[in-house]
Amino acid sequence: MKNILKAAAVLAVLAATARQAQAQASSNVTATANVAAALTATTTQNLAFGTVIPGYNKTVTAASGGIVLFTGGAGAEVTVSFTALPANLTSGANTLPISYTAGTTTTSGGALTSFTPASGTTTTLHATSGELYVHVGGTVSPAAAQASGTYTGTITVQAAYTGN
Amino acid sequence: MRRALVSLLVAPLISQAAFAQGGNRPVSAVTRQNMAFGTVIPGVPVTVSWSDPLAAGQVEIRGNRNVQVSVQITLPAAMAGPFGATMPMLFGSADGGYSQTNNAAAATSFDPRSPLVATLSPQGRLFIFLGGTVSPPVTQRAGAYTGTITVTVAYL
Repeated sequence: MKNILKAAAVLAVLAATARQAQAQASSNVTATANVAAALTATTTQNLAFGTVIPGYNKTVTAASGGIVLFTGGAGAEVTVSFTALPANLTSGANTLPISYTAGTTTTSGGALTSFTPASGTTTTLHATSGELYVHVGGTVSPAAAQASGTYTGTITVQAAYTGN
Repeated sequence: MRRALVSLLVAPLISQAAFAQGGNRPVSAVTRQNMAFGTVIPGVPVTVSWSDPLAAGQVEIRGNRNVQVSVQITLPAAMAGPFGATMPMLFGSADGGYSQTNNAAAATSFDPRSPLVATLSPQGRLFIFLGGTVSPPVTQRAGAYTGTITVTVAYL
């Protein structure tokens, strides 16, 4: 009788063990994310009108104008905006009216996608290099009596991730 | 007589186990889709919804028909990145979904931070959908980050 009870106990333990072994399972889910690099900005070319003749407008196209290179996360969407677009260049107390054009490209020397500087634009950085070139051109309109001198102004452009 | 007595003692144990599981299939869990946050911008939190068919984590549980199971999910507090960098992960009360069919639209929301008790379908299936949020600070180091979520299922 003792042997019978022992055998029963062993079988009971085996049954319980077998039941536990197949009664639980697990699986792993891997979460992934790619953190984009912080945006950097570098002015690679200033907007230069050269010598201007009083009474004659002079235009520099965006393609050959000032260039700011932004670098960040490949393929990331950014907003581009001009936070400073002076209406005039200045030389001491003298002013020289200026208007602007702008465009973007993700490759150096690439075809520009134009946008209105005062409105800004939303675009994406290059899919692999993470680069964006923002070009700015403009037209200066000197009066016939424009005082001679060197006129300058500072244009500020910024880019910010949208999160897309 | 001895053999007969052993049979009588053991039979109730086996039938009880079979009854508790509603059959004799082992329970299994298989990851059908990992959770993908894509490109994350420093300073900009990103949330993946459990109902997102392309980005949510998905686990399929198989087992006996119409039986209850408990689902325990181990959630990481952070993802690991380059050079030991970490990125916080957050999970809320509505970041989980479960369904007897592989259809997130038909799923019921649940809190993945707490154990879930659910019933396998008549076909012995249960699908778990998982979402979450990553919250990179503005100083987050760039690079690839991963985290592991473990889904453990057991018969009740």
